[in-house]
Amino acid sequence: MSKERCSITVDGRPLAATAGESLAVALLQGGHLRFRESCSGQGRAPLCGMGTCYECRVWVADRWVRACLEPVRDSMEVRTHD
Amino acid sequence: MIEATTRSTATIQADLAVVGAGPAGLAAAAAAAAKGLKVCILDETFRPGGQIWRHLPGEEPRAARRLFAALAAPGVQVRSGASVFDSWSEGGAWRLAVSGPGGRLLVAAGAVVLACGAREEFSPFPGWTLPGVMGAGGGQALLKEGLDLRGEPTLVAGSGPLLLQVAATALEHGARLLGVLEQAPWSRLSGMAPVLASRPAKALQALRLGWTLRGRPYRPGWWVKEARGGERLETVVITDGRREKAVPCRWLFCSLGLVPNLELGRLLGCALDGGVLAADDGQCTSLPGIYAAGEVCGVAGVDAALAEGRIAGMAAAGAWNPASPEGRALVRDRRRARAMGAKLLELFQPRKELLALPRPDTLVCRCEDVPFSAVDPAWGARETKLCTRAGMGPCQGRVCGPILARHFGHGLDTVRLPVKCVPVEVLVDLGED
Repeated sequence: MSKERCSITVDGRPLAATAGESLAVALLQGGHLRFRESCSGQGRAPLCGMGTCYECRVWVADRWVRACLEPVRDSMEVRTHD
Repeated sequence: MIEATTRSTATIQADLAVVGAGPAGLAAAAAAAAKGLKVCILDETFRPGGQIWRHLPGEEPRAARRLFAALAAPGVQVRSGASVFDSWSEGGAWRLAVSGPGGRLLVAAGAVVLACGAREEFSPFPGWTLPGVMGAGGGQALLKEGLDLRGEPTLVAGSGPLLLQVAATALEHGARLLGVLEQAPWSRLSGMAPVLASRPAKALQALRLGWTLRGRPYRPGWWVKEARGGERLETVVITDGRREKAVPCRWLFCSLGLVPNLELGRLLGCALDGGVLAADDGQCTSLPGIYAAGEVCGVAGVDAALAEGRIAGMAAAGAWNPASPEGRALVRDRRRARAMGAKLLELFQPRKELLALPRPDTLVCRCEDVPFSAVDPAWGARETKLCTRAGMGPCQGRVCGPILARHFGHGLDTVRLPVKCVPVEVLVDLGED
């Protein structure tokens, strides 16, 4: 399989990514470091990278996903900051 | 058992269900399938391989290829993105309730291999919640998935041999590696020499790592005191207990080691031994038909996982014979790997100074933003949870539980359903009457 470039939108803005890579990687690579906002208002980014800590959770369409466990698909619509 | 899950429509019947597609789970599945069993592998991530073999499409690690190829065997199916959140025995079979991309799924199997692996243990310091501070293995996982740190100042810190591997991976992905801080002192690390001398393959691996990392400072007896920054990590303060240095840094990969993922085994009621799942010579737990392999039986790395997975898969197929030549070799591999794992745990014991690092406002529970000052040292695990909400967020105490155990001596709290955070529509079948 080749590395297929694709485009996703993050908070309404386009972001170039690689299909099949983890969404967490795509977001970090795109300079996003505020995946969610904690209950006291702190910005949070991936901690465990393996689906345990839920710090990287974002919205994809109407679903709450762990970005580190979610493969990038073309035209994916992502919303950060729950 | 959650009542609604029994009404699920999609059901998979298998001879063996394997939870986890890391080395232990894949070895178990391959061994069982080779004996003619119908195997269903359930894995939370989106590509098999576990943490050690995470990769980009087309870049399968060489060590994993044989087991990856076994996944194509007839009778083997892999469900990725599948979180097992409940399990029970019913009508002579084990049932696993799974939340996955297609919603809810029920798996019924005659036997189950728990190969759930381990997660990282964190040791909080002020600023550990800043974006840019990640687990060492977690950072490595994202690097293997393609994270490119070209030119970015990066520090690796914590404890254990994993740090060196993480540092090497960071270098391969372009990071400007500032160094590796190992909290254990030199006096302890010298204990590694006889271990390596007795295991030539491991010694060679260590030499290769040493070569990759040449010229980058490896500092035993140093640890992270504080992480500073605004919106992200900007500076890491490091110390050896006497001196302090503020190091400008954008990525900090740190962890104290690994903690086995016991939740599913504990939910089922598997007996524990020494704080991990107890397993007999054929990797069977205290429950007939439930096997355990790899880190859930104690952290010991990939070699133990491969041997135990294979044994569990053969045992589940009724084909495990420890007296056969292959059986004897597997028992020997398992014993050696376990001995090495135990030795490493002993050498890389965390120093007590780490427990003094959190300030009153440093968070212990990141899900519910509970600071250390909110926890009364007189409380046990349950009281802390009820009074502060620590452990009640989506990670269900997987991150703060081991921290509370280290700092306040808390034991394991009860495992509650669902053992994974799942969407409500998965619990309540909205499509049925």
